[in-house]
Amino acid sequence: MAPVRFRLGSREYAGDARLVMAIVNRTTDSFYDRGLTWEDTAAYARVRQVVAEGADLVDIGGIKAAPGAEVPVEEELRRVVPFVEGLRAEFPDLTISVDTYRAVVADAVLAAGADVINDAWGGWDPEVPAVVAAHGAGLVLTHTGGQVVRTRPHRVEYDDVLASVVDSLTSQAEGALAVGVSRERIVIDPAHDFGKNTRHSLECTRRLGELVALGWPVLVSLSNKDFVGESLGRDVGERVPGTLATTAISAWLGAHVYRVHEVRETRDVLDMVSVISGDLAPMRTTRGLA
Amino acid sequence: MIAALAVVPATPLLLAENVGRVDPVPELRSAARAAVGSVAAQADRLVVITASDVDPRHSRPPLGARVARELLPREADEVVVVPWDAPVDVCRGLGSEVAAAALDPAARTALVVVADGCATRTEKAPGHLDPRAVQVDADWLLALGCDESRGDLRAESPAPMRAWTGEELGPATPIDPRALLALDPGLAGELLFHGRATLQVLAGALAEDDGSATARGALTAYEVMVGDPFGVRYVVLAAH
Repeated sequence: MAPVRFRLGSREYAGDARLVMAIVNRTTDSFYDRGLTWEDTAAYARVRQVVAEGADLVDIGGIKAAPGAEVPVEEELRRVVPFVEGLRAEFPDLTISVDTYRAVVADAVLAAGADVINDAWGGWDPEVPAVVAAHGAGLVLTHTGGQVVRTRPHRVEYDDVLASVVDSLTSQAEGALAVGVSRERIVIDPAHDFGKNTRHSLECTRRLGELVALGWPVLVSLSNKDFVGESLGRDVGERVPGTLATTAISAWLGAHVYRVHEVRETRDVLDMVSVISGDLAPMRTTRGLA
Repeated sequence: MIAALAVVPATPLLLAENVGRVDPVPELRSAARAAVGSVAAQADRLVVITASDVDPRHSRPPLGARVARELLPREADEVVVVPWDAPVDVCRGLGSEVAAAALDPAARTALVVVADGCATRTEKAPGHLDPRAVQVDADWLLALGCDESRGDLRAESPAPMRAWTGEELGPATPIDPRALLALDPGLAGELLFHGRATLQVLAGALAEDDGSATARGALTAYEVMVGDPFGVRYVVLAAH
């Protein structure tokens, strides 16, 4: 497998890139931040902060993943489109991703200046790839095992969860290519916790190398999720160390993009892994060298 | 004839392999490269003088030789490596051989001396703080024609690298081989003054039998940079 090269927004990356994608929720009810960046002022402040902390891209979401109040298309558009326009104006070079499962929303945000669609519900709306292709944008493909959008997995079993992940993502990638999405702008995500219990998500982490070996850039979304909490017996709010440990392991196994709440900490973990692996020089070395 | 001289430190920080995303010694690196390049441009022959490593746990050339190789615009014609703890007369003898090889007046020789001062200048220095280091370093800098009591060089250690030019250099004073030969090897060892032997080879190359500077070796510094950012005295000097 040739080393992967990929593009997000105006940037080109090599296979040894480890990128921080900062979560910016335009929701009132997301599980971790609980509406922290619902207001415009807070949302812009969050983006300025994560950019300063070393985020490579932001991922804007207008609908929480878990079950909850219905968000009509018009409301989702209202939450994300003006924000994307505003960010594009303030940060011309920032790679902007939008987390949506709706093609109509994808179309609107890409027209407003977004670069990537994070299709977090596994191709639920079959029109999303064609919309992404029409804009020459990037596309994150996810595995949900066929889970209905905004539902929780209940008694889901797989013969081999990784095989399901590989089959689904490979087939989605081929589909995206077929409708014209650029090969170098396709990213795959095993989607921890989506259509998965904790053991499934742990297996996706343990065997992440098999996903990396497919040759597509791999995104992992681990941040403060239930599989981390259940692994450690930690509630939301106490999962950062577990998240960072999972981040380090995933980085060592070759994942490329990390969708996170804690940007500064993730940046350090990823850079540390890159330095250990030899993909990145240490920042500044004088110890024993004076 | 010995037409020019550069002195640069033997710190491995000057090797590219040790530079991270941020260069910890950008001023030192550019000054050392400039000094070496300047004297190399004035010469037909390049002779590197440096010391053996104190604690070699490897099979590579000595650190000073590698630093010179990295700084020099071309390969040296000769590399003289003196044992770091060589007695003064051995150093002086090696220096005489360097001078003899440079006798041809038609061939201008530049010496590149890779040597550091004391590594005991601060609490955090490699050899911790030894208050005697300041005077010893001032002595050999004075021998190279630079009076540390002039200008604002007497800064608290650790001091960043600072160029010392123009009036700060004072009236042109040739390098004084006799003063270099007076450096005490025992004290130098205690102060981790690793460049002592190297500087005494230089002295041997510039000295007459009575220790005074020779006509052929009367060199005067024209660019100096001094500092001890990590508690080790670094001197970058170009002379002709």
